[in-house]
Amino acid sequence: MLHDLQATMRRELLRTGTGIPPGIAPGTGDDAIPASVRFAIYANNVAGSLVEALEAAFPATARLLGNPAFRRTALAFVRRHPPREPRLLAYGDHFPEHLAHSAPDHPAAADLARFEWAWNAAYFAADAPVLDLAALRALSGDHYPALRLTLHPSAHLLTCAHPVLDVWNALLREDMVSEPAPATQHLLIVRPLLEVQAVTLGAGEMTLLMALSAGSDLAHAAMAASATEPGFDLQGTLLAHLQLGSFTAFTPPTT
Amino acid sequence: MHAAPDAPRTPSPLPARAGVGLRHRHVADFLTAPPAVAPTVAWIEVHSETYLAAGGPRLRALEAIRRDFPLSCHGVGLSLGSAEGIDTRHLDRLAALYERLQPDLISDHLAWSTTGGAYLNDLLPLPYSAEALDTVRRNVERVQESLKRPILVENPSRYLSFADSTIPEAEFLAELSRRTGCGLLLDVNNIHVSAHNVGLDPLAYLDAIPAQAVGEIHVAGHAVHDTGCGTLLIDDHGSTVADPVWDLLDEALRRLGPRPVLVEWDTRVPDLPVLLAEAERADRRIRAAEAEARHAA
Repeated sequence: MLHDLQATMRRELLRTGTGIPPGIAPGTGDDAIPASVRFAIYANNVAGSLVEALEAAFPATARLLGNPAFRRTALAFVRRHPPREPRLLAYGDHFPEHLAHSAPDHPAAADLARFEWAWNAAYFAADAPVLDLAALRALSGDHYPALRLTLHPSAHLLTCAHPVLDVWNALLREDMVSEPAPATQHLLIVRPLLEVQAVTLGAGEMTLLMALSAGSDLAHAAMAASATEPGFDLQGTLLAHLQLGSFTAFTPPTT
Repeated sequence: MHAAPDAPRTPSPLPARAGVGLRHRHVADFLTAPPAVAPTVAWIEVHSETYLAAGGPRLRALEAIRRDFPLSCHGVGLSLGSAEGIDTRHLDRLAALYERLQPDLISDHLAWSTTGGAYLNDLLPLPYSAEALDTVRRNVERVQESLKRPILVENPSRYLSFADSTIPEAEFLAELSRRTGCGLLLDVNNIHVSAHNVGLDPLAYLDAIPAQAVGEIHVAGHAVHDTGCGTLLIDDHGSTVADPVWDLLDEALRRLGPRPVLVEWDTRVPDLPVLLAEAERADRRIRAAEAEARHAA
């Protein structure tokens, strides 16, 4: 019986309507507040708090869309896809897909939301040390080709069809932002210590990091990068990422 | 640790002094100047679910602050009233967090929020029936077995009641505590809010609560909502504590003896000094109750 009541309440709480579950007691004494008004307090709390959770997770996307439009589409998402678990930090992973078909006037919104989701994931990711540069330098040079580099657990690689990092930075400065023209942007979002870093990547650089994260050794990853981008600067790229803290460890070849 | 050394002995591992909910906008204040905060704030409380991350700065900051303050972890997601039982993955995540933070107290609510695999993010009401009591008892036992310690269960604020409720709320909580060994977290703002909204007698409520079970008290602000056909009080934790709630706190402390009292402020969170002033008001009332108890003894 309790199970049926909870299932009915869930249905009504996530629906736009004035339906109420059966069994709500009428008010006491001279109180004439109808059951529907009382139930609506809970319905507003459920929808409102979940929309707020999405607003907190996607602040720049909310600014790009404008708050009323964001709240409308967030509400539709909440009603169709309520959280699957009480860990609200994990709520919203499918919101970018929802924006892809619900915000036709803002083609960059879904990409921006994917970026914000990656930023959140990096922020809440497991802590890990950055690669020990001295240990790497101590390695003999002939080991480099077969070396495997492990990306930091907070690292996220993202390819967007819009220049989302520029849009995001402008929105954080509260500049007026017009919808950007499409342009491919490769990104790395990583939190080596306490601060999340987001950097744009060249095409070869993206290929290199993707290959390394898939488990390729350095020689194969470099070959793939050069195929993507003729004249790819392996040494300069590696040095930049060692300084940024993109890697957590390395595995020397087992010879 | 800045725990007040003169705090009286109570059934709570927290000092019987005022605490505050740690909110993001005050984290920097707590990190940079714990001594400035400590005279008023004897302990802190956090919402457990906010910290269910693998790592990162938020958890790191709490671990640092936790070294200076006793900690109460207040959950909002266990859904102790769920007919379908406890979400064990969630319980495992909480257990891992508590292992890491080693809180002095752990609590959640007499309410439900999960059904059919959906989490509704609100403390939804239960009919107080024999069936519900049995459900909550099972769930509390499951949680306590897994965490290997008793938890506190908090009375919710209510906006409606069910026709087939047969057990008054306070008696429901007393019976739950008796059957499971759980403690109680008495939210006097919630008693005031529910008393207005669904008609219960706050003093009779306090009388029905077993004193030795109460390990913590909450106070908070509420809003008045005009529905057009009468007012409902909304438990929004977005303002200073209302006078009738302070009076009810005095009544509770008189019956229970001194207890740790938390000032909750979750929406429109003010600057820290405003929150500290509320904590000071709470602390004065605990000290008054302490003096009265000493005098009577």
